[in-house]
Amino acid sequence: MSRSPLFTALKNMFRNAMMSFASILSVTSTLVILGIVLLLILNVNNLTNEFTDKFDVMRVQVAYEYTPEQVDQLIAAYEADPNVESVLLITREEAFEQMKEDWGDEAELLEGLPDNPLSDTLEVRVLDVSLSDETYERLDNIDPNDTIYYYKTTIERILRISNVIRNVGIILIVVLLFITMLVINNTVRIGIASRKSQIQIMRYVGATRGYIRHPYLIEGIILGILGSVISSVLLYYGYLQVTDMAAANLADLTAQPLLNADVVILRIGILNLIIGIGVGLIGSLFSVRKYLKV
Amino acid sequence: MLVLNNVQMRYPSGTVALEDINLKINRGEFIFLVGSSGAGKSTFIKLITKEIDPTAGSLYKSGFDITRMHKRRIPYYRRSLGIVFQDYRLLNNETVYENVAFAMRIIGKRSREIKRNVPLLLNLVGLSEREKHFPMELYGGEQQRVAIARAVANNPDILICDEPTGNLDPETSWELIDLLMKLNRYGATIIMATHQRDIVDVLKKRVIELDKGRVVRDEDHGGYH
Repeated sequence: MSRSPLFTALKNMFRNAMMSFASILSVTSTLVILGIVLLLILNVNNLTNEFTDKFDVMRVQVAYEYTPEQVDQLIAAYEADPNVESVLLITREEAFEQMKEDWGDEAELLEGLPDNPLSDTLEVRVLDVSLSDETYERLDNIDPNDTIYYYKTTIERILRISNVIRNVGIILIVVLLFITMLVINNTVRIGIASRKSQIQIMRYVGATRGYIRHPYLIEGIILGILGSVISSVLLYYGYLQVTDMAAANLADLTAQPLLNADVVILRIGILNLIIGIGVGLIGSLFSVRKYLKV
Repeated sequence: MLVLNNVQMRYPSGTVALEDINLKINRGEFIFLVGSSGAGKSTFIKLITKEIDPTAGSLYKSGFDITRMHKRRIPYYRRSLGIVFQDYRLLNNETVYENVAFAMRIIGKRSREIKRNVPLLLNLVGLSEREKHFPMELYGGEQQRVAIARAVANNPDILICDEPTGNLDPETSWELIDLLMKLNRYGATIIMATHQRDIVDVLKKRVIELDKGRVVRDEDHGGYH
């Protein structure tokens, strides 16, 4: 026996090195799986946001013959919509300049035109992309003479896929959390069962429940912490590999396809730590209770 | 010191382990608890150590009814008892010294006091030379003496011995009895359950005989019979 509960906990862990190793291993592996699922969800979320950000603009082609006053009225009407974040006017002149710039050397061809053939356009940025349909219906009724373009099917498809991944991921996380708890509960219980007679002796000599329990609770917490730290390190280096690979292969699709490793693993690491301590504590609490009934 | 009033113990299966027990045990007594297997000796000891509660009757220790004691108070109550088992129940991965010291530590004794008292206790039971050994390195009789040192470490009011010589050869048994007698002379109240006829017959102490859960004999200077 030892002087402090921490000392006793560490001593018990070293004495039952195999058992402790098994517990840490099981906590680590479940937290790694949990981390992978989380990374998947976070990245899908991120990609969804990035893509939908690009599709959250509706382009409105204003009728050619409208005067600037009429265009201003139209802007005001659009801005009044609850799902509209902002309306940006691109005048026909600006658009024509842009066109010339885009055409580069061939811009000379445009010089021959008698008049600017373009009409004013409005870039209407919506607040919630998932409400694009309803917003489109409302905006379309404001003025019968304009034409509204937006990426309806693309948005719908991205949102549908990301929702499926998110929901499946959340279910997976809940199941995994439950499994992790069972695993810790079980391993601590096996460890305690092997020390059943020790606990019994302590009870006979007059040790209080707290005195007996504290080292085991601390042991559970330490196992949880070790498991979460190891799993976070593994996740960090594993994820670095994946981001490097993604950067090399998907660079042309988007500048930064995956979330930054440092930031995301720090968050997952903190979460793992909380989960590790939590399940370690709860797991050992349940298993000690059983053997304190002498 | 210990008073049992109409104590009855009936297990859920319906078996009556103890019935109509009325006893008074005084300070400084040395009592042998005898009877055949299944007579109720173990149940009697479990009642005193408060592992179980009687289904009827009451049990007073120094004036307090321990059958009504709150669960939280049980550890403190047990500190007033020293318990010695037939199978020693030592911590096998701790040294002899630690086995005795931990009993003192869990009740919050200061380490200076522990360092002073453990050698005295080991000297009392004749194991000064063995303090750094582990229980498995000791003979049965030595292991039981460690258990006795642990049991008396916190100056208990009553020393309860459940067949302490059950696993020992006759010679070692007598050495142990000698030790218990010494502790008794120092003032310890001892209740010892035993099957060993010769010890009971020679010592001529108070004998309480149980049979089918009832006290059939309570003699002041009795033999085993």
